[in-house]
Amino acid sequence: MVEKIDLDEVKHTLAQANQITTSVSPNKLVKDQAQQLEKNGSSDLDSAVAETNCSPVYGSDSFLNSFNNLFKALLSPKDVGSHSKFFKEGEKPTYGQLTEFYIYHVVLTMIYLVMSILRMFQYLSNRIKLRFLSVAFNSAEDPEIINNDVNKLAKIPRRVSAILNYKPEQEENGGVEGLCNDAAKVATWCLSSGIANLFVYEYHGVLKKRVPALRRAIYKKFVAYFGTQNVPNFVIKIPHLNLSYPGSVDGKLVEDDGEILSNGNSPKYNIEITLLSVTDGRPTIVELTKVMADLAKKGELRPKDITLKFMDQELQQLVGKEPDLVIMFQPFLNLQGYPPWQIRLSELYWEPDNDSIGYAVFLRALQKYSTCKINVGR
Amino acid sequence: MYPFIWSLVTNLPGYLYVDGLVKDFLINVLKTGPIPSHLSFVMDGNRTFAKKNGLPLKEGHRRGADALMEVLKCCIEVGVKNMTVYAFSIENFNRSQAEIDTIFDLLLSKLVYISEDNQFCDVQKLRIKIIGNRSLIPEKILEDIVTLEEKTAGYREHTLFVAFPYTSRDDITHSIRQIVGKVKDGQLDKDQIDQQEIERNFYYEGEAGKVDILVRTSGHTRLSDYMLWQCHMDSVIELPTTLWPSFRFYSTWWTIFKWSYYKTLLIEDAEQMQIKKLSTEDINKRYRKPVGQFTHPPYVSVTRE
Repeated sequence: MVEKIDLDEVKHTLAQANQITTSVSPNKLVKDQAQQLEKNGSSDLDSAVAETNCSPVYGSDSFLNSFNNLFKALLSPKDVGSHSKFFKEGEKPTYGQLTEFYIYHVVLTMIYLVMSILRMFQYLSNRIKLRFLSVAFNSAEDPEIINNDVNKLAKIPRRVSAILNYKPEQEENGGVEGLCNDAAKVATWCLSSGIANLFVYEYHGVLKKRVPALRRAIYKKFVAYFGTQNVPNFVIKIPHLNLSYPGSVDGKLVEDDGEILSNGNSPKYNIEITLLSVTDGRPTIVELTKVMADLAKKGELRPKDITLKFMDQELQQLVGKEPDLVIMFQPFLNLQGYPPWQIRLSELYWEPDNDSIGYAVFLRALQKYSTCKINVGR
Repeated sequence: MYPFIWSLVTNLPGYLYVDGLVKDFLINVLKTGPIPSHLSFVMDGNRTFAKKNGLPLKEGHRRGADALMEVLKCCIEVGVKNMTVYAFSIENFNRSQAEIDTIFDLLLSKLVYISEDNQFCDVQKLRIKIIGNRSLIPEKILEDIVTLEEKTAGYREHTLFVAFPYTSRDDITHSIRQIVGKVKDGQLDKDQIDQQEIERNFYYEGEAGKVDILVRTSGHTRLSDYMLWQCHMDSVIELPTTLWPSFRFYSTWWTIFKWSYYKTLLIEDAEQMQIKKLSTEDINKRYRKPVGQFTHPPYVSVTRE
C-alpha cells in the first residue's frame, strides 16, 4: 500500500512552473531573424520544410486501385515477408515455416480484400450522407441564416482553426485562387456566427506568400454576403514575420499597406485571420531554442527561467493562442504538422471521406463543439 | 436479449479454448503484414465505465488495468516494439486526494507485480521505462520505480513506456531546458540544435521514434496534452468510442489491422512509382536508335514541298 501523496508539495512545484522569472523576450529575436531571412529572399525555414515531408498513412484510394494493389501484394510478398515480424531476425526460415507464412499471408490478403469491399460501401454511404447534409444545411450565402443556425447552439468556440489543403491547378477549385476562395468562405462563415478569430493552416504556406490575392478574395466574398454598404473590417496576420495586413477598413479594400500605418490609430476589426503553415510548428520551436541557447550563453537567461508558462508566453507571441476547435476539411484525421504546442486541448473535427469545404461541415463542427465538455485533468 | 445469449455462449464448455485458437490464428495472420513499431494509448473512460455499470470507482480503474494487460499482450505477440500508455497526467493532480491515492496505488502495485520473477515482463521480455516529470513523484514511490526499471532493463525486444506524470508541454519545456543548459555548459554547439536534438532530450531520451498509432478511447476528439510533438506529423490517430475497460484484444487487433491495410496499399504505391523511375543507363539503352532513323508511312499533305 502506497502512503498518502503529499499534494501540497506537488502543487508547490507546479506553481513554480507557472511563474515567469525573467523579462527577456526571445520571441522578438526569432521574429527579427525570420523577417531578415524573408527580406533576403532565402529562408532557412523553407529548407527545414523540405526535410519534413508529411505523408499520411490513411489514403483515400479508389476501390479499384486498392483492389489492384492488394493483388500485387499477394503475388509479390517477397518484400512484405522481409519486413514482417513473422520470422525471427537472423534466422533462415525452413520450408515448413515458409509454407506456414504463405498460408497465413493469403488469409491476410483475403481479409484485406473483404476490407476493401467494406471500405467501398463505407465510402459510398459517407458520400451519400455528406450530399444529404449539404442539402439539409445550406447557408444560401446569407449571414442571417448562418446566424440563426448558430444561435441554436449552447456555446461556440472563441478561436477556430481551419486546416485547408492546396489542390493542384487542374482540379476543380484548385490552385491559389481556389485556396483563397476556400479561406474566404470559412472567414465569412466565422464572421456570420460571431467568431472573431480564425487561424487558417495550410501546410506549404501558399497563402502567406499571396496575401494581396487572399485579401481581394475575402473582400469579394464579404461583399457577396454582407452587401456593398457594410463590408466588415478584417485584418490578415502572419505571426512569425510579425506582419499584419489590414484587409478592409470602413468598407473599403485596402490596397496599399502604408496607408493605414500612417493614420496611427488602428481601426477596430471584426475578424482577425491568422495564417499558419508548417514553419510555425516544429521549426519555430527549434528556432526559439536556438535563440534561448544563445541568450543563455551570454548569461542573459538561466535554464531555470525556462518554465512552462514562459514557453507558453513566447510561443503565443510567435504563433498565437491555442484554437478551441480545429476543423479539417479532408477525408481523414491528419494534423499535417499543425503547431504542436497549440493543439493541446483543441477539439478536432473532420467528416470521414469529405474532401470539399462545405458549410455543412463547418456547422456540424460547431454543433459537435457545443456538446462537448472540457475538463482539464478532472 | 443479446447479453443473455452472449453469456450463454461464453459459458459453454470449451469456449475459452476456441477463443484462444481464434486469437492465435488472427495474430499469426496479422504478423505476415506490415507491423507498426510504436503504439500509444490514452486509457480514457474508466470512471464512465464504473458509473455506467454501477461499480465503485476503484473497480473501474482495476478493470482498466486488466484491459491494459490484454492489450499489451496482443501488441507484444504481434511484434510491436514500443508501447506507451498515458497513466497519469500532471493535470490529474487536480483530482481528489482519494482518487489520486487509488491510481498511484493501483499503478505501482500492478507494475511491481508484472515485473516480479516469472511474471509478465519475464515471460514477454518487456522492459519498463517511466517517462514523465520525476520531480513530481514522491520520493518513496520513485525509489520503487527505479528498482523495477533496473530489474527489467536487460530486455531489449519490447519496451513499455509509462507516461507518469506527463504532459506533452512539460515534455517539450523539459527538453528545451536541457538543451539550453547543455549549450551553456559548452557540451553542445548552438548550430547543432535541430528537431532530432529536441527529440533526443525528451523524457523518452530518443529511445522511441514517432508514434505510429495513437489510440484514445471513449470518443473524445482531443489530444489532451499528450504526445503533441510525436503524433502531429504523419501518425494515425484513432478515436474509438469504446470505453477503455472494454477495449480488449479484438479492438487492438482491429486497430493494428486497419493500419496494416492502409500501409500495404502505400507500399504498393511506392513500388509502382519506383518502377516508373529509370536510371540514365536504362534510358540510354532503350533509346539507342537516333530519331532520324525511324521509319514512317508516306507523307500526305496539302502543302507541297
